[in-house]
Amino acid sequence: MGLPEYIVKRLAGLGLVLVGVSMVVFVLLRGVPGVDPLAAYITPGLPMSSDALNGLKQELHLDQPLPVQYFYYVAGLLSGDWGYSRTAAQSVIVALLERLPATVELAVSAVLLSTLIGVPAGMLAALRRDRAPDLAVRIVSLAGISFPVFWLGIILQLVFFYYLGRLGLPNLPSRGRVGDLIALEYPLAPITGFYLFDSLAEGNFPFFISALRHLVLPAFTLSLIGLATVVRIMRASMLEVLRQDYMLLARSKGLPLRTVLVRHALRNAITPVLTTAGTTLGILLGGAVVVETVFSWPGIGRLAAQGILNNDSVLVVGFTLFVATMMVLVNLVVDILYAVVDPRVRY
Amino acid sequence: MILPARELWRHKLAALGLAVFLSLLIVGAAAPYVIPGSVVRDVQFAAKLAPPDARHWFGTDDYGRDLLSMVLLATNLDLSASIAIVASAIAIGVLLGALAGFVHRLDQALMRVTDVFLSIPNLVLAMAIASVLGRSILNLSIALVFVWWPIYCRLMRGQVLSEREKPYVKALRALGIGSPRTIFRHIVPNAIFPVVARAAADVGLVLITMAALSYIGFGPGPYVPEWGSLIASGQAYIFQAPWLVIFPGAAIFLTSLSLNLVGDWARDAFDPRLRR
Repeated sequence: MGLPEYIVKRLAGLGLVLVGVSMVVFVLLRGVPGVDPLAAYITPGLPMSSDALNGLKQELHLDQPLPVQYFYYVAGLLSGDWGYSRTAAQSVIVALLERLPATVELAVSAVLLSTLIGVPAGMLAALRRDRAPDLAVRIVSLAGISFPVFWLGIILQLVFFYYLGRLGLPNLPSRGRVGDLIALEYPLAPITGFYLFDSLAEGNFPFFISALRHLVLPAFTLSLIGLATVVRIMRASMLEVLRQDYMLLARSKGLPLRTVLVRHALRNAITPVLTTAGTTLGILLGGAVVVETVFSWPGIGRLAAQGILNNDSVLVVGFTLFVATMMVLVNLVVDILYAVVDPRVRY
Repeated sequence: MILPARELWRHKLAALGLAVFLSLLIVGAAAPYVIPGSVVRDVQFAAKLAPPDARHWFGTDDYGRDLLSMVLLATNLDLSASIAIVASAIAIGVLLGALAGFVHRLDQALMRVTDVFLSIPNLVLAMAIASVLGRSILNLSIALVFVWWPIYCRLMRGQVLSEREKPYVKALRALGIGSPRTIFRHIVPNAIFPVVARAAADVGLVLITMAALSYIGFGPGPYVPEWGSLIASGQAYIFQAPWLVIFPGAAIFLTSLSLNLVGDWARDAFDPRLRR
């Protein structure tokens, strides 16, 4: 089987998963016993007239049997009608897409941070197995998965924003994506919505610096969610690679240790880390709900959290479908890249 | 058997984790009997946000209540909820997983269902389910059971599939032992170790997920002590009264760390492939 067929086969499998996800989401919105599907559209304290309710009922096809409703629902999803969010006062899909760059900027920075810290730490632990560095790395990563990150985020705000500021030292901002005054003084014309990229492309350096400083604390907090996983996988796969015969061969033919470690060991050991990148990104998107709430980061996660407080299940469920779709797509890309990069992969 | 130093060290940490967790269980179970329930309703705005001192070791919260009492009372809810959630998820997952391992037609359907559930991040799926059911701790727990059972189902299915090929199963059949008895009296007990090994770490993970969801808005309100919502209500006063956030978070960290220490050891102990 060649690569194109592999991609088609993977796409079919992922399509099935997405159909399943849409069913779960549909059941949540329309088929939960004892939950009125219309309730999500009514703002508490603002009752709707029975005419308006009946109109809404017809518009959502609630008078039809469930399978028919599902058909209409999926047709709506495909044509970009994901329902209306009371929280954002926007259509759900527009609200999500508008805030997506903020979340992607945060999540990608977090993935980069956890990889940049996690891969060397995992390598070090494997190379110095059972000695002090290994124990230290393992204890730290064990403590890392035990931290409630939202708590850690608040503590980081306390230390790096408040305490440093009170001591008159340079501190880090604790809320938002960019300083309000900077945004007024040096306005940024959005190109992609990624502040770091846009401000660099426009040569708007004050904006870039401010955006970068705002990114530090939330990205670090979010990276801790993936860090322990990266360290653990990297350590295990490095230990596996170190036992291989080609490592012995590489050393015995006189290659310097550095070359052997980077060219032979790292390249082989890093693939499991890359394979799990899709899953890690998914976990980080879940974590983004919490971290964005802590740092008032205007992304899709904070929007979903606001939706929860408003009982806006159209938005929350739409967010779920959105995240699941993103995860499926990222996993597909990772799989394909993996197959292209690593010739040993059998499709 | 002589254990290498490293093994001993690991076991010591695991034992420490277990001891801490058991003490937390005792504290959680005793808290409602030792601390009068009136503490939660004892609102004294004059005494609010007092820093820790000899009378109030953890200080007082934004309602003027003793924070130590609140954190201890919350131990009960947080621990019993996360243990109950994991236990229910294991019960459902093991049952369905064992059936899937035996009934081929059911297997196909169940595996597609678990594929779908596992393709959505835990926290996000739990959030969606709980938000549809309505904001409450009970609904949040139901949502978390829905999220966690597929993990055990997959694990159990794989175990049963490999276990059923072993000679003793054939021997049981030759003896005329019926399928249900073979499955639940012989195969499940033999196949359940990886599930048990995961359980401790999962209780910790469920605890953190529950606290996080309760922090973003699924919490039980100011009159039911719960760690995540204590942090949420304390965040407004983080610069004036950081102890409101520090102590409940430290309680979550301590619990989850103790469970992870036990879980780390259990995973290695039950899975020799990982012991390198």
